[in-house]
Amino acid sequence: MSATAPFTDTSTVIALATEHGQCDRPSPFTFTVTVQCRLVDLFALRLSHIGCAGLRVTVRTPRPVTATTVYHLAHARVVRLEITDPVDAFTTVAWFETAKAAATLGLPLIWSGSLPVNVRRHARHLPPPSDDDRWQSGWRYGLLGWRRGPGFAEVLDRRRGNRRTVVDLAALTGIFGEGLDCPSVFSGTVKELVDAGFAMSYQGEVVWLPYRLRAWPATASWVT
Amino acid sequence: MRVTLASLPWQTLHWPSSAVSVLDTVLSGIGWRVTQFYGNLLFAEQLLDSSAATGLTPDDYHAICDSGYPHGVGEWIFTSALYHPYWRVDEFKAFLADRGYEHIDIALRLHEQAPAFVEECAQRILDTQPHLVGLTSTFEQNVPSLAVAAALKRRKPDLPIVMGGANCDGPMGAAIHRNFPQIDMVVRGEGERPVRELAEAFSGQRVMSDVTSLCWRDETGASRANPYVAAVTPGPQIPVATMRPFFDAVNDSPIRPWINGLSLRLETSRGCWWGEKRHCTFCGLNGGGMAFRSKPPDRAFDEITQAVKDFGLLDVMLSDNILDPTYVDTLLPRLAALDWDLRIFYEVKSNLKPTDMAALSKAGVTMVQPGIESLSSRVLSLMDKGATGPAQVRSLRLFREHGIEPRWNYLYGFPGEDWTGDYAPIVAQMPALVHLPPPNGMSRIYVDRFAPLFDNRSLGFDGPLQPTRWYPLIYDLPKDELTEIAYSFEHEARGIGDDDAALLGAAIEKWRREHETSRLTMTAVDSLVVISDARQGFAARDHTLEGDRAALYLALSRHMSVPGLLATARSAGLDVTEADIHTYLSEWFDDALVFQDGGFWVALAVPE
Repeated sequence: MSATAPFTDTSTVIALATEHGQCDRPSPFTFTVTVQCRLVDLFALRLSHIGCAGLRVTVRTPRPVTATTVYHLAHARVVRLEITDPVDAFTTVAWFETAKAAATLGLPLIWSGSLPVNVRRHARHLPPPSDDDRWQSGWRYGLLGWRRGPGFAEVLDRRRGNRRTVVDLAALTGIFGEGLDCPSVFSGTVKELVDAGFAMSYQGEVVWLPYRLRAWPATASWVT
Repeated sequence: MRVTLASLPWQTLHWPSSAVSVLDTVLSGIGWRVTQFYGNLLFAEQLLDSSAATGLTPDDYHAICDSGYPHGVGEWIFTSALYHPYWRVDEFKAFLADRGYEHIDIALRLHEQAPAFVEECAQRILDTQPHLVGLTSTFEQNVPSLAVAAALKRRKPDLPIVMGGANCDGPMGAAIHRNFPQIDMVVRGEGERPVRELAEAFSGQRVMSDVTSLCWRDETGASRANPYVAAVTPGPQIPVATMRPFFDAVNDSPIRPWINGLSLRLETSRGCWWGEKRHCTFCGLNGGGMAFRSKPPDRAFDEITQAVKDFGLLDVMLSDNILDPTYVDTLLPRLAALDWDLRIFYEVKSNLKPTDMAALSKAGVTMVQPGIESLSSRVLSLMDKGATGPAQVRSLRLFREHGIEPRWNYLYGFPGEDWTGDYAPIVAQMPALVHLPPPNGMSRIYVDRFAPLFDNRSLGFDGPLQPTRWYPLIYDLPKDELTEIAYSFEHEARGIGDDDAALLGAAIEKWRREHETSRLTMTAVDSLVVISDARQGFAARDHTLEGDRAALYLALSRHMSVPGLLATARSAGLDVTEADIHTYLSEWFDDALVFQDGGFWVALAVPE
């Protein structure tokens, strides 16, 4: 045992946060830090290299972020990601990418706003907004997810009943990118996915709805 | 030769029979034509077919599978076919009611369905035109197998029928053979060697009396039992399971929508390396096959990955009794590197290091059976578990930290235990453990055949041992034969009484209720340790530890005695006295931040 080895220096994290945005630490004796970021992508990348040094860092950003940024924040062990501006019709597609990545990586996502009516029903499996009690009460981890296998994606749909579907992975990555997190455009194959309830079309873009089930939370509420 | 290998109720619907799929490989390898027959699927299909009339569905099959074994329910259901309908029905209903069993009505209705199923099952097996039929029996498959064997003999008396499986190990197999003439031969112990030898006997290259551990009949029909030899299969020679027939059958079955969580069933080892050193006193697994043997890691990797590719399934249930520790550095990293979203189940020894836990988690081992059993050091010592209570709590904390779900039952009823010394202090601390994975339940121990408690009466079960109460309600056999056929036995209760057990049960139930919404996390920040308490039953607050307290709390991530903690502190250059350590431990105990038992202490907060 070392008396000091497990401890890390928070000053580097504070300096980085200050460089990239407004860093709110109520006092040097509190360990909860909120960072309002201007360039969240770069901040997340740099933070992923040094970690949070034991600080409980909440990152606030006005708009949805990419899946890569969510990955960096989760890797740094940020405790929460908060989208400060209400999500609306213009940020809906980007929000799906953020929300799916946050669900995959177990990063709590705080957001509010109003998804378009015809979109909302496709989003009930994703982290609910802070101002929607009904969505919150019906939400469980694992309602609609996918798992990567060798050459196939297993889609588990527990929104109504319990349905397992195996989809050719190469076909999916050809449409939605390697992580299935890039919006695509409408096509014949996409129509089948939309009809199956696995994809959604909105304003000319098509979004793959399931999030990747990489881990199985031991205690969080989820559907079995 | 054509052989049909059958697995009957109550084999789970979720994965193939290990015995059938492995012996298929053995027999196919010597040129036999093998048909795998899944009577469990057929029974569930028949329930679905007749659902409108009976109200039964495949879900009722699952219900009996999941709950029936401790009470012999699945066995009794098929007594209507082995003996006659409503066999000892009033006595069995009273027994189930006394046990508080919740599916009595389902059991009765399935009992009524069993005779027609058995006849249909026998006909379907005959439709495969076998020269030989093999029946595998584990857990609750004895009576269904015996009933189907009798139905086969009624239709085709000269059809040879062989039975094997864990229920046939040692004297149990000999007793089955003596008492049920519909069984021509019983294979005892691991099947690979005796089944190959039996095949040689069928082709005239060997006599039955020269087949390892076989029970067979002489020309007069009398039962003969060859000397029992534990013929264990070496790890590299454990066959690859032939699972295709099961998955073809289940994927074509109308009950497929009733099966969530279809899984691969594989084995990477047999036996128990811990049991070779110190046999847990209650454990009757392995029978004569305790010697630990594992497949080479590369082969284990190839088998798992090939099966995932072949069947498009990412859920892998491994039947191993205990993880080969060498796999932590060999098999597991290779699985982790695949970037597949596997979900693997393994039984493990609980004393895993944090690096082992990380390796398991990265590889997709998200469910384990770690043999926690108890949190009392003395009770763990009584069962020769080789662990202390704080060590088990540490394991629970590490499982929580690494996102691995441990499945465990709290066992009680060990000779020599007592409430005041061994249970009351643990129950008093259970509210502090509420953020850690709770037991799935609790159980007074049975005395299982092959367990040290069965074989060595000086361990405390020194009075009369009786087959568990359901055996005489099911089998129409004299007492001495029941004793031979039984696996599980009852003895006058030892250890804590039922009233005390109820207190333990209430504490466990509370733990289970409050677990999901409880957190106790810890972070080391600057020179401090900050512990956030969000457990049910405790005021939400942060505990901030600094200086020696912070360092010592981190040191207690391992379970330690006070002298051990003092030595560790001094070797790290901390200027603390034993009195200081007692003061700190007392503070943390008052705040429910540590668990202690038997002179050892361990930190409870889970690193964020």
